[in-house]
Amino acid sequence: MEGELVATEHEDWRHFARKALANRSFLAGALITVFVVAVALLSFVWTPFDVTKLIITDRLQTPNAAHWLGTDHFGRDILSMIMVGSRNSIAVALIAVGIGMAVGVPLGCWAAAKRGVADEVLMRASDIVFAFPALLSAVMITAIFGPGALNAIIAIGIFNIPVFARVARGGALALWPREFILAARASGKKSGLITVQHILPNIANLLVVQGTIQFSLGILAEAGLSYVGLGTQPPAPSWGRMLFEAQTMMAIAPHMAIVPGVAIIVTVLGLNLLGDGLRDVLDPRLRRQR
Amino acid sequence: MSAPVLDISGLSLSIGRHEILKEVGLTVNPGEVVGLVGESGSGKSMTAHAVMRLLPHAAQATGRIAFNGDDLIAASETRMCELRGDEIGMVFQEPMTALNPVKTIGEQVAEGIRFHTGAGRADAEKRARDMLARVGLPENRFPLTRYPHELSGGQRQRVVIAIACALRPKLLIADEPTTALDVVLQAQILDLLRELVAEDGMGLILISHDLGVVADMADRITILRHGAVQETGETAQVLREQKHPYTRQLAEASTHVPAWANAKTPPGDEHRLLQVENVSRHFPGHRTGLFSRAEPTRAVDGVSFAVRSGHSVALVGQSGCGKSTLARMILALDRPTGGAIHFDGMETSALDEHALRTARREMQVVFQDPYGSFDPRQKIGHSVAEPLHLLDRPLTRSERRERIAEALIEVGMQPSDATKYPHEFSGGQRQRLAIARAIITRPKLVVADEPVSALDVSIRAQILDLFAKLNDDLGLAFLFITHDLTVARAITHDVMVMDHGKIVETGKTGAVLDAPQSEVTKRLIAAAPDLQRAIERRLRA
Repeated sequence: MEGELVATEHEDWRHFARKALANRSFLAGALITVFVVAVALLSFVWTPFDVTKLIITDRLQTPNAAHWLGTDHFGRDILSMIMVGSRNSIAVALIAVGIGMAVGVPLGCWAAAKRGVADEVLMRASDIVFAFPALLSAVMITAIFGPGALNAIIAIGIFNIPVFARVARGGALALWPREFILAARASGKKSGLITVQHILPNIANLLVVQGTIQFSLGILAEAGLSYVGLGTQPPAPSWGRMLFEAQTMMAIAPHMAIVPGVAIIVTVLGLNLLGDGLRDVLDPRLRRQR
Repeated sequence: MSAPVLDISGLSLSIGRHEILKEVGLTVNPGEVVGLVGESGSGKSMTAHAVMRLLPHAAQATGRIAFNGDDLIAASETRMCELRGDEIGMVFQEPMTALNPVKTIGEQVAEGIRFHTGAGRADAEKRARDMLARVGLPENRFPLTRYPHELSGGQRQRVVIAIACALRPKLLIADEPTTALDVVLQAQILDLLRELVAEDGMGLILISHDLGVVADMADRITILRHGAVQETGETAQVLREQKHPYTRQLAEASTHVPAWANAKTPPGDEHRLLQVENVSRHFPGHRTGLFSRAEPTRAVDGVSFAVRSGHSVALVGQSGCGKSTLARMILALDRPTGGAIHFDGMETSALDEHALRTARREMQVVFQDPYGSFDPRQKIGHSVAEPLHLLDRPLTRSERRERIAEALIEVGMQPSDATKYPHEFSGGQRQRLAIARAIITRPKLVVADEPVSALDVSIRAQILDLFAKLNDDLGLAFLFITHDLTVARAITHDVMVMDHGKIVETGKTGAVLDAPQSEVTKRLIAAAPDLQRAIERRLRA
């Protein structure tokens, strides 16, 4: 039907860029995310003050020319702490998403290719993991194996596995009956090879979008774990623990809570916008219906 | 003659800088069937959408569409809402997507009645019941509480027609109403439309790419190409005289028989390349209780036949008769639940995937949907070369490139096409590429599942030519799976007719189609639209 009137299903980078630039939530999300990552990278080479140095005389200053975002009750510079803390948040969330993808995607693709008992067992297992509130279980895991950034990563990563397994399986299931997959099977390709050559490139969109969303959830989870003292350990600064420490100072130094709170909100908002935007730009269901 | 119910004159339509329709004119009188014929992209659907004012947002229409004195181009949206469904009804091609899957058929028919007439629920339901009975879905067998998924394709299309005709519209627009159906269902739906037109005296615009269908149905015919009317007039006259070159071209393409040297004498020895012995495929019935299941579905039930090397064989039958399931088993993409399949001396139905490699190299497949047969993210070269995976020795880069180029040239494409993506090709070109993929390993058998039914007539003639050429040049054996008897007649030596999982008739194609023995074959032949026959009938009338 009137083929030339509707957008083609082609997605070279130019087409992608055109659509992406027209999408406001993608643009806003991408800008915020790039800014947060840039700040984190900058903190490796430069921060306004040393975050481990305690200058008691400077404590509890409100934002001023020397300390742009003020200081905490030990006189540490809050801007520097936020910058170094973003490093932690991003690292924890990124590795946790990596674990989820590295384990979940192959499992999901395998279940879709094999079907039957394997599929059933895997999906019921992921139902069980889903049945527990993720953060609560992460608290349990870190409580058993001891607090620390590494255990936080593992705990958050485990809960990303079934998420990616489901997304990959759903996408793959929709592709398996397609004729180009049948043609590949008629060419004697085994399911593993078909998955690598045909399934993965076609579900990459879904995975990228889900990855962005899980990334923002990871940052929230890390902040939550640090808040209850089970995440990143002192003296390394972390957004969650900064919030916890600010709690007792709320009345006299509200900026101590507001600054890390805003940092978390802005980062998570940026990632969610990015995820939403990416979904709009990439999701095949929103593309031309043939 | 009474005033026309629809009078379109000078209708032009553009979207952005694209001109979709150019000065289209069309009139429909009460009780008259007007056929609107053209190939994909000719603007026939757009003309229908312009009448319904269901155009895309950016569309700019000029000209005049007079419906019973109302100018529809200038009419307000409120007025259009009153007209749509009440005075003008529409039937779409795909009955599954035209119905709402979460509403019962009774609700869907009654909905329009209630909306337009303000009738009460009970009254609307009664009228819906009457209408469904009129389209052949009487309440004792098809209660109003059925959902669309509980009906077959033909039955769904009857519901769509019931919705469109529930309020006795003065004009009905049917946009390819039977393209998604097989020939027998097509004949039934066309009969139904004909009856409704005769009884209610409504005007019908029948949009189709199939001249045979239109010749049979329409009193007058309008032929569109690139958004402009090529020829218009009485059906019998237009099709008998074929004054306009495009009309002639269309008529020739739809009755096209390829020049085929091997048509009479199949190449190759009489060696049985494929032998299917008493093969069955039963699917377990759906659960009726914790430990009980319904009777299994016998998709294929004790089928035996052989395909000799170099022969072209058609497997014909209505949709749902099990022909595609059988094809999948022959291709070893599915295993039979009973019987055995031998291919080239190997029992393919018992081999594991590794041992199947030799067999797979010798048999390849072409699918119906030219859009779904290629991975949208792979370049054509990759997809076409996919079966080379079956070779025992991996090819070098240049050998591979040579094989791809050779296969592309064989099917009339360019070697440079290998670096393009599937979306850059039209449907007909993609089907050529699918054939290139099927012949790249030089197989002995190609199974083609409805290879031309999604294509326009002129493209379809070219693809049939290509199949004939491949049989002449390479001595390929074909198994064509189709519901279209003209394809069987044009390109096969032997034919097998399948019904409800069983083969009911086999023989030489000409013999079986000219003197059918079984009821099933007779029914298929009677239902198949035939341009020649339709013109003769019109001339006699």
